[in-house]
Amino acid sequence: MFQSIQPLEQNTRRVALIAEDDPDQSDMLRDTLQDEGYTVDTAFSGDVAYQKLLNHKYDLVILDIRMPGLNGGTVLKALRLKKSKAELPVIILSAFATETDMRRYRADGANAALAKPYEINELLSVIACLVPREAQS
Amino acid sequence: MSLKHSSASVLVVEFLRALLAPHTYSPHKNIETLFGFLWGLPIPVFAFAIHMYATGSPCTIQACVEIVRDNPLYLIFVAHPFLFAVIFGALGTMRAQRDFQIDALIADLEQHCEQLFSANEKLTVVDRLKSEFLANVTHELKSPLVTALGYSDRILSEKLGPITDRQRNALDVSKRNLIRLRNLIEEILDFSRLEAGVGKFNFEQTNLKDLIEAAGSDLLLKARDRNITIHSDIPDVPAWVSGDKMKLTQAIENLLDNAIKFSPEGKSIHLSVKSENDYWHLRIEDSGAGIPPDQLALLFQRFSQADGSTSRPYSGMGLGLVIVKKIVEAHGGEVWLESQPGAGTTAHIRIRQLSNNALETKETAHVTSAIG
Repeated sequence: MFQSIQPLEQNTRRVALIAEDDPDQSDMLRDTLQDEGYTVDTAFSGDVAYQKLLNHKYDLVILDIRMPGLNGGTVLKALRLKKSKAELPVIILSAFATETDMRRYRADGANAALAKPYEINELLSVIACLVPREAQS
Repeated sequence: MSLKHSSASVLVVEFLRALLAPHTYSPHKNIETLFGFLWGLPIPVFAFAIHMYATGSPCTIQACVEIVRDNPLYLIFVAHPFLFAVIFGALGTMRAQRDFQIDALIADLEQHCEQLFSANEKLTVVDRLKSEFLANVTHELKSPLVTALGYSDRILSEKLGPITDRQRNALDVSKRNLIRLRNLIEEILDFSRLEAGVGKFNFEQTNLKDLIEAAGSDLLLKARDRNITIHSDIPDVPAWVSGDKMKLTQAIENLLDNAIKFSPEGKSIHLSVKSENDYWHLRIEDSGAGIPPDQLALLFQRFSQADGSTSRPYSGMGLGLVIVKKIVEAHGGEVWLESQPGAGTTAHIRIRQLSNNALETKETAHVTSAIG
């Protein structure tokens, strides 16, 4: 029930990747983003997330920090090394949210970082800023 | 084993004991014995030489023996080298014993040092484990809240279908309590982080005004929500202190947050910074309900809120002020509250100004580095 991968290629809707190891949180994010008109792909570990990021095109990535395998920070850093992925909007969601942590996530190339537990509306407004509606093709 | 100043009687006893020690009589081990002997040797030599010179007798061992036989008192001169050898030898033995004691003490000390070192290493490991544990707990405690809060929000925004007013009210209460739980967790974590990180303050030259601005900007929204205005009276010159930026900001934020939390809607908060002697004096004045004098002192203790009864109107465990106190005191400053019930509360922080000397050297350092 956690896998809801729809054929990505023939889809004109925006596609988001949720990398989050907690199934409940992942479900909730998927529901929320689907309501926002996204097609959602999920990954439950950093390794899978990184593989998917390399092989598919996404409009938005939501990254948890602590995951099995590669952690979110590593995925983010690896991602930013690829030229083709330099502009991809990435939102970090993390329970490790001291100011130092937040600053580090931004320095590593995250477009935004939210501390868990975040407000859904806050997340939605951040997403709205990062992925403007006009970008929808 | 101790090497305290020995009294004369102890020294005498030690000397007598040294006289009995075989070490005193073994010149091959104890160089002092030999030295004493040599030291005493000139006495009989000169005595005999003078006697021989005076009597004109020949300079032979035979003559010496005759002299002693004729004048038994000359035995005293003959005894001198041996007497000196024994006295010096005994002193040498005493010194050797002391050296031995000192060596033992040093070995003991070294062993203690090693023990301390390894204990310290273990503590470092424990400290690291503690931090890791804290990080894990943070993560684990917060994760369930994410989903619970998220779904509450989604239901409340009717994304999952229409809800009745009664359902909305019930869910509002549920959500409010989830947020309260979140704040409690944050508070405990802040506190334990501070406990774990005592001494880990990163002191640097800091402008108090920047910190106030940072603390204020985080809370502006909260103040606006409650229709509270913040008036500030801050001097134009930079307020330099030596401090940990993040921690001091947190302290100011906690005090401001309290002022906002306890102010009635629509009132204002007055924030001012003044230079007094060598200190910067920060005041945060609210016009809330105030605190009865008997409860004022309790506020800086763990887990206390002015109203200790079960029906607290405000969330939080009262750790906020404890955290503030810890931070400010780590900076060598003071923090205290003044309150008049009914008229409001004023929070004071006093922090020592960074002296002009320290400042100038730093600035010149900046300039030179900029030139270089």
